[in-house]
Amino acid sequence: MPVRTFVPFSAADDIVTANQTTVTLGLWSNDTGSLTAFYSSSDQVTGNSGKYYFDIYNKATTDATSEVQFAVAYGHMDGGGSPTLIQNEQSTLATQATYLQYKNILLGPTDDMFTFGTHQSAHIYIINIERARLREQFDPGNWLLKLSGSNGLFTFIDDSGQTLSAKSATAKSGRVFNIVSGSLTGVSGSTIGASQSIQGGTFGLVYPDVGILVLNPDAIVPTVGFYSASGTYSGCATASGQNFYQSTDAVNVGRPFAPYTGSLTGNYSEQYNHAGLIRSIVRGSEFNARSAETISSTHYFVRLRNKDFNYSNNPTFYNNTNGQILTDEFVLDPHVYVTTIGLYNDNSELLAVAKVSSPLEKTFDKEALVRVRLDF
Amino acid sequence: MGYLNNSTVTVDAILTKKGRELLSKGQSQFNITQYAVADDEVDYTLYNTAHPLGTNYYGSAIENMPVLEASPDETQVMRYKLVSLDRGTKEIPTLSFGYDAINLNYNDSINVSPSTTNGLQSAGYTAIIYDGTIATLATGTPLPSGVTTPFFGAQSAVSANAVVVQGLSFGLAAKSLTVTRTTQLTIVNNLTGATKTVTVTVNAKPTTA
Repeated sequence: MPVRTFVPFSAADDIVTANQTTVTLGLWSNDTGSLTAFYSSSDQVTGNSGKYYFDIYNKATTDATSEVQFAVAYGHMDGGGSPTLIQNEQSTLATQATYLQYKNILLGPTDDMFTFGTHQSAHIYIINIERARLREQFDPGNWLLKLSGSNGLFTFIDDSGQTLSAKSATAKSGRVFNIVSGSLTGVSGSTIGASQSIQGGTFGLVYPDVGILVLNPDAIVPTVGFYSASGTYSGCATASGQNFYQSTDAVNVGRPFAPYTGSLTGNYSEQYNHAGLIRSIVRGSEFNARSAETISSTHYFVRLRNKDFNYSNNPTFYNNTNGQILTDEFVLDPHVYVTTIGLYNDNSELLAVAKVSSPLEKTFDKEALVRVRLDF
Repeated sequence: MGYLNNSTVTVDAILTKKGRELLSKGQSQFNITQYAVADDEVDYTLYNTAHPLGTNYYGSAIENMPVLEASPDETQVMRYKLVSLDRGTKEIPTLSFGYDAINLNYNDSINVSPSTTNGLQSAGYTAIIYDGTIATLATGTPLPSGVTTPFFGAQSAVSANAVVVQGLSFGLAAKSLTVTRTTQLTIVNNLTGATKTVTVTVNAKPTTA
């Protein structure tokens, strides 16, 4: 028998490639599936990015372990909620830039506006899942968002279960689903309470592949009951309205304001209209979701045949000076224990390594088959 | 009548640093073609042939020990490979190169010519010096044409200051040091997996008055 430590794989018999497994996990940090507390950073209010979006954290930002979970933005096709250049030549037209940015990402080249059912909306709320949370895709059919307003607490899901005729066990290819009011129970995996509002079409759209939820303010606001902005310009930029980022006091008593898109007077301030949705989310206190990721695996079948691998180079197995096996019983009946499997290329370069959970006994009377799974 | 156990042990592998490096260059560069097994962590002095419960328990101390997770550093895993030899073998091929320890002064250089019992050296050897900043390690006699069995791959694949070369013999030369330092030199037979490690000490360069 040839002396050997390396055994070639048979490509036909020992290697199984292109095994694809979809793995779902809780969407939020530490694979948590439910987010019930929402925090933002006061720095964003004073910073330039706050005009466009606010990051939502899982913990107070003073906690070093806090992480961004998602961002909330507001866009208006004509720039409502942001000062015009006439009003403020320093204005960056934040809401218009946001609307057009998402239109460019999510809609076709011939689509001018987001359409919810038959309702075309000039403005949108956006919930954008943080990339690190999303992994590969947002798992449709397995999320819910609760929004609270003056009309009560509403639960929003998507209609992928009905669209696909079955609850999506994992993310499907595909694309975009309507956001509906309902619950994650029922024959199809979910039950639709209302697919659209009377006032303004469906509630929104979810794009699972990019992790973006686009909410329709014309449906959400009257259904949930956002409060109308009042005053000359009083969306969420009023003194009291700016408290939205605090989690302990004003947020919980603060009202979710409807977007203010009217004519700005006075200081021509940004309206931070996305703050209204954040308040409603905070009051709703529940955002459950999963991420989905497709993992490609290759399986290598390592065959430890009876005649192979029965001796060891372990220094406790033999005398390193004269080579004699130290345990007399091992001369005719060697027992060795496999702990580690190395996968090599033709140049004997170690490319991957696997460990068994406990030492695997190998003798001339024993064979073993070990399936080594390598994920990419 | 019981059920036959048809289970297959399934384990998850991780990429080594070399594996990640090759994978980053493209799938075609990452081509697993062979395997080896090792018994790292096992101490065979735990195999107790005097166990009071008899032969079934000789290896119980080993079989029940927990195994550590795999390390991605290819210099730290697969240290003691299992080898296929004929039944009845009484001696494991051993490797020697004439030194149990190496002590070098400034400007010293030595030739290291490993040999393996039974002459099993056709595939050559891999030499690893774990701190290449204190001594230069180079191939003396290269591998015969057609033999390509680098053990750990290119130097860039191993950690920190380790240097890896292959050949039938090697040259080791001291570098200029201000303080005496030590490291280890490991030589591995590419065919049998036989390994020998010695301590290398490089003395500080004498100061001139």
